[in-house]
Amino acid sequence: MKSGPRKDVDHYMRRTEGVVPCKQKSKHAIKAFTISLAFSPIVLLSFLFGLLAWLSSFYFIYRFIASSEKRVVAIRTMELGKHLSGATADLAFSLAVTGSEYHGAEALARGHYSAISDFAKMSLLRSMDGVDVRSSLANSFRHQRAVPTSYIVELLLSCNPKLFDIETILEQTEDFARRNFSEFTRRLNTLLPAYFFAAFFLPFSALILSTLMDNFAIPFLAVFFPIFSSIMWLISNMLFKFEVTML
Amino acid sequence: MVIASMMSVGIIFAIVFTISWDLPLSSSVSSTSLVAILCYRGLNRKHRQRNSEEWQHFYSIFASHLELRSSPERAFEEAVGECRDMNISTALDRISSRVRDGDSISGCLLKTNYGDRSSEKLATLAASALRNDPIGACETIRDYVRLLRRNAILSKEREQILKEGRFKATILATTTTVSIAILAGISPMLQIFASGSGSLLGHGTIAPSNYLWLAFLASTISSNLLLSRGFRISPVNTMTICSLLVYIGTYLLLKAIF
Repeated sequence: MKSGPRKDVDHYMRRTEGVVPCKQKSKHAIKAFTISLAFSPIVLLSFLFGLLAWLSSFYFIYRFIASSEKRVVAIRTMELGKHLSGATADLAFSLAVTGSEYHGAEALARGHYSAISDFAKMSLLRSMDGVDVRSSLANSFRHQRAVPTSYIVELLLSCNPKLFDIETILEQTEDFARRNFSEFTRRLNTLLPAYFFAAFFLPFSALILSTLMDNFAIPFLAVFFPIFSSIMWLISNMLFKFEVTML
Repeated sequence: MVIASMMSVGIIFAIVFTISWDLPLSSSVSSTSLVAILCYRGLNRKHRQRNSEEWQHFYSIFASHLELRSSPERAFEEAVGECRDMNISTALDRISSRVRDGDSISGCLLKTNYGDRSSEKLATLAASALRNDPIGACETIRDYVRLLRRNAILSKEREQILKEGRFKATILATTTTVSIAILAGISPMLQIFASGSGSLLGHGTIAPSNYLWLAFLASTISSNLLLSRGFRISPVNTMTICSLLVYIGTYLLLKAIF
């Protein structure tokens, strides 16, 4: 049987690696089912239509909740990619100067490298139980999805002095950074049109609708402005997150 | 903080509503003020990195003196002598006097307060390199300085990407603002057209007041503030001010024409 802290560490590692366990899936399903119950009274109006509406609402809510987990993992991955270059350089220099994996892990843990610093802290914690820091840290990096961690894993496990060569490190760090730059530009090119579609289309529709609404125009406009601000806030938040995690 | 923000938004709503008796305008102005409060609150203040480049320059000189096989202490003194006119000279003098008092260079480098991360890292690395291998330290220090310089180039590239994005956003924001200003300007005519024969108030309908253009101006400001937040820039910037001026200009132009 697993002890408490070890179980926590394993759960943390699985979460950072983006693995969604069955227990999590059933939790999502229960959440989606509970929310979709709000649509069930439609069954009373028309059985077939109501059933269809309820089932489809359940499906879409489930997909939304499940994808929110994926979105969190994607953001973590991007953040990891952002800090990878600095962390690689730090680790390489620490290993080159001191030759000790403990000092390397300590440099990563102290370096404000987001999830990478967390891995290093976990590895240092595990080392107290007798686990090898080098292999546990390499293992954490190896299981990261969609992040080019092979160089850092090689740096940890191989004793090849070529890896500590400044030109190789510079090449790697620049490569990591440029990948994030191009990904950010791609996402910005998707998000900016969405932002401006909302910024123009929503006030345009509100103006046209308000002219057709007669008595209802004033309450409609009074409700419209806060809703518009919240939609803009959501899109701006996405843009802000992309920037913080990628650049 | 959240309660204070909500309270101030409530007060703004009450003031605007008392002055104008216009519900859409009050709602628009209060939601914009909430957005402005949130934007100012979440503003990320940049860390100061003013001395980082000077420290890099100092360490590259120090590494060159180390390479000439002089002792670390002598190399340090010589490097300090060459960097007299820099901003970091006070910190260097402090380290130098401690070294003369008998402290080790690595210890003194670690004890100094640098104010930015890259200088601190460079000092930590130089200190451990000097402690482990004083002769080979010059190579490590020089390599790390090179890495920091390459990182500075990447940072400039990052800034360039952001500037490009901001430029695109400013153009799009201005275009959107012009379109909304035109729509807000012609909306009274649209209402007259929609209700037929121009006797809008005669039919007892409550039409949005003349403040509608102000309500849309507030919503445009709110969307521009949020766009600035998305690009991590101060809320008062070219994007917001340009859009504000363009909106007012377009509206006044329409007023003059019709």
